[in-house]
Amino acid sequence: MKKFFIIAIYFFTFVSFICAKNERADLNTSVISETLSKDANAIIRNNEIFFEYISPERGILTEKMEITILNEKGKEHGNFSYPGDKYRTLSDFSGAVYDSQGNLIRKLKKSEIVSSEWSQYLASGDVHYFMNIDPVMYPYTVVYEYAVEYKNGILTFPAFAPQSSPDIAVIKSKYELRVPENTEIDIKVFNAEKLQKAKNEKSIDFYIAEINNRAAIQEETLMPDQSNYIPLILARPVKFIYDKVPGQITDWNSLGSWQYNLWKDRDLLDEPTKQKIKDLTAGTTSDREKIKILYDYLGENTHYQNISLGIGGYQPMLASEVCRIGFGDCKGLTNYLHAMLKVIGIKSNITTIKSSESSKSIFTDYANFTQLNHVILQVPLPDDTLWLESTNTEIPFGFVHNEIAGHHALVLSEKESKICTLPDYPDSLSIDKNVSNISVSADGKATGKTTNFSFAKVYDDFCYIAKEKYSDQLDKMRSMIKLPNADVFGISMKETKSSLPCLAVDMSWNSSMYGTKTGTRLFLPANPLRSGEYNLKKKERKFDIEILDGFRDVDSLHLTIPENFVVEAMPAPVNIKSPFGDFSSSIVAKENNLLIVQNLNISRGYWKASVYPDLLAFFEKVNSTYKGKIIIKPKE
Amino acid sequence: MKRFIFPFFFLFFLPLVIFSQNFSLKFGSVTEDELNMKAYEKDTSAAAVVLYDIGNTYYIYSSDFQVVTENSRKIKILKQEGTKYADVELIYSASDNNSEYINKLEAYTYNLENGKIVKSKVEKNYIFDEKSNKTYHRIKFTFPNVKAGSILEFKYKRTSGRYFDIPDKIMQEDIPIRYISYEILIPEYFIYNIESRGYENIKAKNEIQRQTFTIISNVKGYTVSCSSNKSTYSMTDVPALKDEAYVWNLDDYRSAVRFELNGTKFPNSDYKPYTNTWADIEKLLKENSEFLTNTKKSTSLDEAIKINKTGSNDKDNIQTIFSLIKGKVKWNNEYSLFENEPREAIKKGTGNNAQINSILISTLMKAGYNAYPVLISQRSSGKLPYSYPSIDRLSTFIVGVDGFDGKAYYLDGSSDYGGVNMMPVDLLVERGYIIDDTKTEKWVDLTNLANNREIYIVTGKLDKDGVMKATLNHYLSNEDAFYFKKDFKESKDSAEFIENFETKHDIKISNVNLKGMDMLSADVENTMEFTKNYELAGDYIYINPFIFRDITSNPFTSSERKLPIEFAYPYVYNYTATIQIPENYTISEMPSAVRIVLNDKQGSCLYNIAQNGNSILVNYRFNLKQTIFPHTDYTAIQGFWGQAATKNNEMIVLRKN
Repeated sequence: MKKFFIIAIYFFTFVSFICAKNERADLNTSVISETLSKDANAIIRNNEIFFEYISPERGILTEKMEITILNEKGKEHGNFSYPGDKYRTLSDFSGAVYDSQGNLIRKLKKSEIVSSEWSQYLASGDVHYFMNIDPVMYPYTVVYEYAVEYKNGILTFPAFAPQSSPDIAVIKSKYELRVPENTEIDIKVFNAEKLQKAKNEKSIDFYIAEINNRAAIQEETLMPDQSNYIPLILARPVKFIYDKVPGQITDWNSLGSWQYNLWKDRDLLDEPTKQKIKDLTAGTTSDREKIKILYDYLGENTHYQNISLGIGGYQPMLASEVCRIGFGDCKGLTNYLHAMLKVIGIKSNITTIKSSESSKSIFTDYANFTQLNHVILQVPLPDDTLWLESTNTEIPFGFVHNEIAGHHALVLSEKESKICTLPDYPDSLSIDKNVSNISVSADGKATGKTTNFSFAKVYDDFCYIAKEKYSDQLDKMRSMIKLPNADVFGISMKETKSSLPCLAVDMSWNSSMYGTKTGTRLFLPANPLRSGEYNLKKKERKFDIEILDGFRDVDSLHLTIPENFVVEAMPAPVNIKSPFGDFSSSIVAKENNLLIVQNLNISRGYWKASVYPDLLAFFEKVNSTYKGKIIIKPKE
Repeated sequence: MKRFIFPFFFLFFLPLVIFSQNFSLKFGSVTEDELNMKAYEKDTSAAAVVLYDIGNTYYIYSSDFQVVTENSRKIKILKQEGTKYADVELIYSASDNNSEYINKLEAYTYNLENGKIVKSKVEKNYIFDEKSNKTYHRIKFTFPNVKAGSILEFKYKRTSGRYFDIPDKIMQEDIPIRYISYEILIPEYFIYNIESRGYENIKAKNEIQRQTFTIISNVKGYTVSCSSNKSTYSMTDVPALKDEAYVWNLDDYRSAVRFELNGTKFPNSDYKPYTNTWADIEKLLKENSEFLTNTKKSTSLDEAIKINKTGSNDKDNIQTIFSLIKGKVKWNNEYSLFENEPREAIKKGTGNNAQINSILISTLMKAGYNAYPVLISQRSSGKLPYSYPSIDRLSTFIVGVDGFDGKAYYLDGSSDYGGVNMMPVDLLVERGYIIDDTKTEKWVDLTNLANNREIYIVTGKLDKDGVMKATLNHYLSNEDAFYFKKDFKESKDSAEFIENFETKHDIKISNVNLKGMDMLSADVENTMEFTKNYELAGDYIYINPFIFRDITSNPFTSSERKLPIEFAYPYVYNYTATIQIPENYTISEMPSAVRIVLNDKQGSCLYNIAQNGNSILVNYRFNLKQTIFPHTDYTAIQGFWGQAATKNNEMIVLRKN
């Protein structure tokens, strides 16, 4: 009888966990506070993440989610999605959808889950699980619970990041990590309280964290990186086994050392290849020139493709194999370049780096595998250090490209891996410059010649145009002229691929109506090549301001107006300075020749939200000056 | 006239005779000219060119018919950017019934190194099979040792159990093709409708060939001999297809040959039509949709039937029914041709447009109206074939209703922001097919169902500081109203919507009143009070009287165009402003009135401006009357828009006395 009773308890507890109730009065949406749901498109009512770490080769994740979708924009947050792979498989799933009163609309079954191996790479081992839930009426609540089995390769514990999108508010979200007693783990907490540690009788250590009542975040232009305000907990075991390779990582040095060992002795090339490399570089005694020859050789004979299966995600393909098949990913291609340099006695170091457009730094006090996502090659020379990108040798030799310049990197070594920062370019070097000669006739028609120069970072963003089809180049240059009627009919490009690269584009153009004509007057644009920067909102600012990279927009236009015309009105000179940069505009008229010079300099930096009104005022003046008009009319 | 007969062996040699240089169409044979080639002379900017693509489709029989396609392809990489063509993926379906498989895949890279031809093979362990979802798999591989100058050649064989479904043969890509040929041998048992698409000329040839199959029936095997039709399609120097703005669906213009099964006639059986007439399509639909059978069982909304018909307006009645049904079943963003289980949709509270439409038709019929499906292919799905009825190309249907007033009204379940004759533009196609026995005219043009218009009436007073205080009465009708309501609903909140409006027109709004924003309304009324700042320059104030501009810049900037120009819908944009100028100012200069037309009757732009006492009166009317224009009209369209854009930007000069 007792046995039956115990089984019955188990059964009912189990069933109540898995079976959806017909009514969940607690999910009624009218109880959600206004302040919390303001700005939110979805709100997490309750979220619990449990990770049970049993051994380096076994773990179980269970997550329970109850999320209310408030409107159409939040629809995607109601969908279930889990990125698995060959070491992590979805083992259980159940769920339900409730209406705004908490009445059951329908149940969600494991059989409805779609799994896909789709990947943009050649082969990846990814298995993506998802289920899309169609909304009936807003608001509605999606509830689900699922379990994932981790088998092998537990390099990091599941992260705690309940506010996965800024438009999600959180009422309650709990994180619990269970590890065998005294397991060493490394934790970092952002924008949340520290984890509480507890022990229990069964020799298990518990780490618990909880966040409550977090409002959604309204995104603002030029916000700092999200690690500044989104709650996040990263945790990982210090000792692990990945695809049969054990490791123990306490800091960046030990992580570098582990990776270094995966790369060791994989850089051997066969004799004919070695001879070829020696032959290719025989014509010069300069090390720098030899490196450039091999850098170009790499680009001409290989292409990028990614095969990351198992340890192949961290260990490079053998250099001899990359040489043989002619393709590889960033690890394989870097390994091959490193091997080639080794043949001619040039030492180079494998460097892992964070390649990202939104942030340059990593957490120097917290080492893990997710922060560094790319591999490049450091080549220290007596006067200089080269940082070579093996996946794209079109990048000018010696130029550090935008996705890595100024970024944190880990140079791998057997015992002394160090975090360093790559060189960056001062804002004053990233120039976008226009030099124009324009001639307007009395009927409003104009002909012009413009040369556009892009330097350094501006070059890196724009150089793609040199490889486009001619008709696409024409279209792109035409879009730079902000006139309703204009034709670009001749383009020539000159690319200087030095360590401070530049692209110069000459274009000849004309316009059947340069500006507008009213009666005898002509309203000419002061600068038809600029339309202003940044769409800044006039609201009160909450977040600090961060400009990652500054730049300079430099324009000089020689404008010739018809002989019998005179300037009636033109914009006054402007000279403004702000913490973010400065701007000047001057128009000088000498008979029928006008010289318009406008310079905008923006500096990188970080400022408190309180200076936002200054930022707004600065750009309002810049944008309206660019829109200025010069009015000319015939002499009386 | 004596017919010129082409001997068979000439057909074999003819392709080689076309090229002055030495190119090989034989798999595994790479010539020096091919390896030395530095550019494709007809398009020197091409990063890669397909040297040949040769395909061959035929039927085999083993326990059932199967379709086999063999394809071989040779690509020349001309520039570094072209190396992306080294990545190949072959999609095949592996669902339980009628699955496909790909085999006999061979791929090689050829490079010229120190005068020698070096051949590299794609190895088996570098060929991957990805299960993309329950139905589709992708075979993925990349060629080794690819660089500028490499020749990549591969071939494979695809066998499919779907013998009634021959995929389209695409004959134009985003890189140029030097030579493409496709041969298809179809036994007389299968009758296909075949249609070519695209601007480039596809050479077609047909001939009859005999084929034999061994067919097992009731344990007995016997050989049948049949007459098969061999069609060969070929093209040389096919230019790359470039996407342009204002095109509903680029694939409508891509050179291709399309096949659709018309019917089958097997030995000792009757002819079994699939869909060779619209009556057949109708029959097939009836088998899969309960509303077409119009029985008591078809799902309808009871309360909607009880509306009062006598003495009230058709349009109102129809809309009331529509609104009730939309209230019960929310559209789930999906379109469908077949409406399985509309009852499920009512239970779930959400459904695709076909389910909502079927409930709508049944309910309208029960309420005494003649309602029927109008079959279409959405704009985004491509245009229906012209030469034959096609069920494969249909993507969905909308609802047509005949009012007692004799007018026809159209609706669709996906319309969240409009009632009658207002729906997403994707459904406003030129040809919809009506399934209704009472109608003799079966085709209907849905591109111009209602008068789409946007009217701005501004009354403003300008002061000597260049600040104008004004009121706006803004009216939108039909499609314009639809999209205004949609933008509003999709904005985060009304504050964001207003802010976007302010930024777009550079005004500051102090008061807003919106009317007619409910789903069914075809007329939206937006009343606003706002101010606008103008630049002062000494004694002058310069104002652009166009506060709410229609055309700020000319979107047609390309120098030439190959594809037609397809607009969303015909519309009228009307702008009227009365601006009172400050007391001690006079009008120094004013823009001139103008009348521009597009090709006489397809569009017009009228601009009138006059002084009346101390006010300026502006009246602007832009009318686009046609939706689709051939590419030969591009220059006229470019000029028309350019002139209109100029007028939208012209200034009035006021001078202090």
